[in-house]
Amino acid sequence: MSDPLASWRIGAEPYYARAGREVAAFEAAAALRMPLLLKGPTGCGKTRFVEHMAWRLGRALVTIACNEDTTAADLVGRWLLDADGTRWHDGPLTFAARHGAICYLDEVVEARPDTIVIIHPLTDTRRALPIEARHELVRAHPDFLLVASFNPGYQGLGKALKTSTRQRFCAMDFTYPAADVEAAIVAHESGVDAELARRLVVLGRKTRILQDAGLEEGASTRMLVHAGGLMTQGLPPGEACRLAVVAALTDDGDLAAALAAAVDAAF
Amino acid sequence: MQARTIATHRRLPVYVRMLWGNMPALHVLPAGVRPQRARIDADDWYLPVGIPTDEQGLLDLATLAHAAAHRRFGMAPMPRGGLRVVQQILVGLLEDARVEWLAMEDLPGLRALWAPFHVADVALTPTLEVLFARLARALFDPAARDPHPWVLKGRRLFFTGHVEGRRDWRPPSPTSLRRVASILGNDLGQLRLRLNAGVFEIQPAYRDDNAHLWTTPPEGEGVPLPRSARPVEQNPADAPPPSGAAPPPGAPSTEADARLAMENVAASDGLDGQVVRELATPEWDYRIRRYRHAWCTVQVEAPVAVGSESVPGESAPLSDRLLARRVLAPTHRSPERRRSVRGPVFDLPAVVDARAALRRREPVDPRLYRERTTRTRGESIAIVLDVSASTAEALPRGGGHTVLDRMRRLALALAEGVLRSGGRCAVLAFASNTRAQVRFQRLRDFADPPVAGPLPERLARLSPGWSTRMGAAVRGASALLAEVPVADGRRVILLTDGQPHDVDCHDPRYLWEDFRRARLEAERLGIAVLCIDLAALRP
Repeated sequence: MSDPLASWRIGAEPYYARAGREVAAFEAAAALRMPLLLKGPTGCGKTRFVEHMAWRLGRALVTIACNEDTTAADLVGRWLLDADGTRWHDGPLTFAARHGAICYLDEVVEARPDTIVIIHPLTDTRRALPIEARHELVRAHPDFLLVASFNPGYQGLGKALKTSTRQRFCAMDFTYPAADVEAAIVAHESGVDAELARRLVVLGRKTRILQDAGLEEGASTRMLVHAGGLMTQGLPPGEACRLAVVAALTDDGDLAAALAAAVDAAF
Repeated sequence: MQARTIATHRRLPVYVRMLWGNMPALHVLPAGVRPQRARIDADDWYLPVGIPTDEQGLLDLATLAHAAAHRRFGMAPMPRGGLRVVQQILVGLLEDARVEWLAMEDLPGLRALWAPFHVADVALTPTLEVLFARLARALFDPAARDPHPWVLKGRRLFFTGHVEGRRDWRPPSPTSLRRVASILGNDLGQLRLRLNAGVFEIQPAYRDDNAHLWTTPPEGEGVPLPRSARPVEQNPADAPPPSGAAPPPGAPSTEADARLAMENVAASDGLDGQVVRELATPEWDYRIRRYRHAWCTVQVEAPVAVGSESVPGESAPLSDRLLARRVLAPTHRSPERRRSVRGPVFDLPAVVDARAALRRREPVDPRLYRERTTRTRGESIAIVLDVSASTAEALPRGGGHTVLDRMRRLALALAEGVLRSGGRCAVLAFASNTRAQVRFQRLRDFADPPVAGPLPERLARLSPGWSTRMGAAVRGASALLAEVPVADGRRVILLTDGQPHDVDCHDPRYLWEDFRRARLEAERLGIAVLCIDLAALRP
C-alpha cells in the first residue's frame, strides 16, 4: 500500500545544533501528543528544529506558511469541481491529522485569529477535527502532532494569538544561539572557515542591539549563513555582508551607512 | 560653506553603538576650542568642527572608533603626579597604541580605517612633534620602517615579547606604559628638543586629546565647554523616589512606570481656544534609556466656534483626494470574500458550494458573487497637523503654496475620505513651545456629526508658529484615541514637514528617538501611526 505521506517525509538528517534541552522537551511533549508553540526571532532555527525533530521521530512534516489570507478552508479543505462533478480535497491540517504527520503552522500569528480557532478541537483531549462541509469528524492519527511558530516581535495590530489558542500549547522560547554555537552553525551551513564564521557572528550580534535605533530586527543566523555562502563563492567579506545583511536589513540610508561602516570594521 | 552638524550624520551614533555598545551624545566642538581634537567625556563626545566632505566622513568614523576603543579597552584615569608634559603626551601616545591594538584584534577592519591617517614622514626634520607622529606610526604598523634610534627604542619597548604571526602577545599594561613613557621622555630631554605646547596637536588627526586619561586637568588649561554645547537640560531629580511615592516630574522611570502614565492634570469647560484639558506625558531620553516621568504638558484647547453660516471650504483637489485614498486603504483586507447576490466576479467557494448543493438536491444559496469594498469599516482615525513655524515655508515647486497650505488640503481630503467610508475621525493641530506647552487645537472631534461641517474654516484659520515635539503629539493623539470605543482599528495620521525640534532640546537626536518610542508605545496599544512628510511629497 502506498504511503500517502511519502512526499512529506524527510530523507536525510537536517543539521541542527542544540542550544539547550529543546530536543528532550520536544520528545516529551510529542510522547504525550501535546501541541507545541515555538517562539523566537526570525531566522534563529525554529523551522530547522522542527525538521530535525520530524526526522528524529520518523514522522512526515506538513508545513503551512500562514498569512493573513489563510482561511479555515485552506487548512481544513474544500470541495473542488472536476470533470466528474465535485470531490472533497483535504487541506494540509486534515491531511496531517488523518494520516499521522506533524503539522507545522509557520508564523501562525500571520493568520487571522478567527481562522486559527479551527485547530482548537485538535489541541485538547478531543484530538478530532470536525469537517462540517462533509459532516465528518476526523479523529487524529496517534502520530499526529501540531506545532506552531511565531516571532513575538511581530505582534502588533491584529497579530496576536488569542489567549484561548495560546493556552492549548506548550511553548518553547528560541533565541539566537551562543556565539560559539552560532559560529559553528554558520560555518557548517555556509562552508566558510571558522574564523570568518566567528566574525560574521560578531557582526550579527552587533546588529541585534539596534532594535530601538530604527532596525526592526538584527541580522538573523540565516542572514549570516547567506553572507558566508556568498563568501565561499568568492565575494569579499565586505561585499557579501552588504548584500546579505546590510541591504536586506534596512532601506534607511543612514542606518545602511552605519551598518556598512561596521561591516568594514569587522573584516 | 555649509556648517557641519551632527544632525546631518545620524549614522554616526548608530555606528558607535554597533562597535562596542556605547551610546554617547555626539556634539561638534565650538570653533574657538583649540586644539581641534576630539574630546571624550563620560556621556558626551565632541568631534572637531571640520567640514562636510567625504574625507571628513571617514575622519569622523576613525575618530569615533578610536574614542570607542578607549571606552572599551582604556585604563582608569590616573594622576599626573610627577610626569612632565612631554611624558604625559607619551603616556597618551602609548595608550592610544595599546587600545588600538586591542580594538583591531576584536575588529580587524579598523586597521584599514585608521591606517590612511598615519602619514608621518621620516624625511622631515625630527622635531618633537614629528618624532611623536613617527612613533605613533611605528607602533600602529610594526612593518613601517623608521631609522630614528628613539623611535626604534620606543617600538622595542612597546613590543617586548611580540613575535610576528603569534596571537598571544599582549600590549603593555598601564603601569608599564607609564614606565616606558618616563624612559622615552628622559631620552627626549637629552636630545634637547623643545615642545611648543601652544600649537601642539596630537597626531594622527583622528585621535582625541586624551584628557580623559587623567584625574585632573592640566595646570592652567582645561577649557570648560559652553553650556550651549550640552544636550538635553539636566534634571536634578534623578534619584529614585521614596517607595510608594509617585516619581517627581522629570525623574527617570522604567518603561513599566512611564508607559501610559499620562495624567489629566486639569479639565474644564472652555470657550473658544481655551485650554480645556491638560495631559502630563512622559518623554523618552535615549541617553539614559529611561522615560522622564510627566515631562511634557499637552494642552488640549476647545474648538474655535465659526459663524452659523460657515463658508464652505474648498473641496480638496483630485491629487490630494487620490493620496488620501491611498493613505486610508484598509490596514487589513476584508476577512472574508463577501458572498453577495451581485458583484463583478464569482465567489468560487460559493459556486462550488452551490454545485455541491445541486448534486445533493438541496436548496442553493444564491449569493454566488464577490463584492469589492474599500470601507475602513468603522476605523477611528486621528489626523494630526504639525503647525510649527517651519510649515510656513514654501513648498519646492509648490507654485507659491506653503507646507501648511498643502497640509490643510490633505487633512480635509483625509477627513472627507474617512467620513465617506463610515469611519470616525478627529482632526487636531499641534505645536510646542518647550516641553511645558504642547498645544493641541481641536478642529474636529470624534463625536461630531459625519459631515465636514466647520472643519474647512477651522483649517483655514490655522497659522504656523512654535516648534515640533512629535513624540508628545503622538502620545496626546493616542490618549484621545484610546478613549474612543474600539471599532475596527485606530490610527494616527501625522502630517508634518518632518523635523522634530524644540527650543529646549539641543541634541538633534533626542526628539527623533522620543518620536520613535512614542510610535512603539502607540503600536503596542493597537494604534497604528503613519507619518507623512509634506515637504517630501510631489506637488
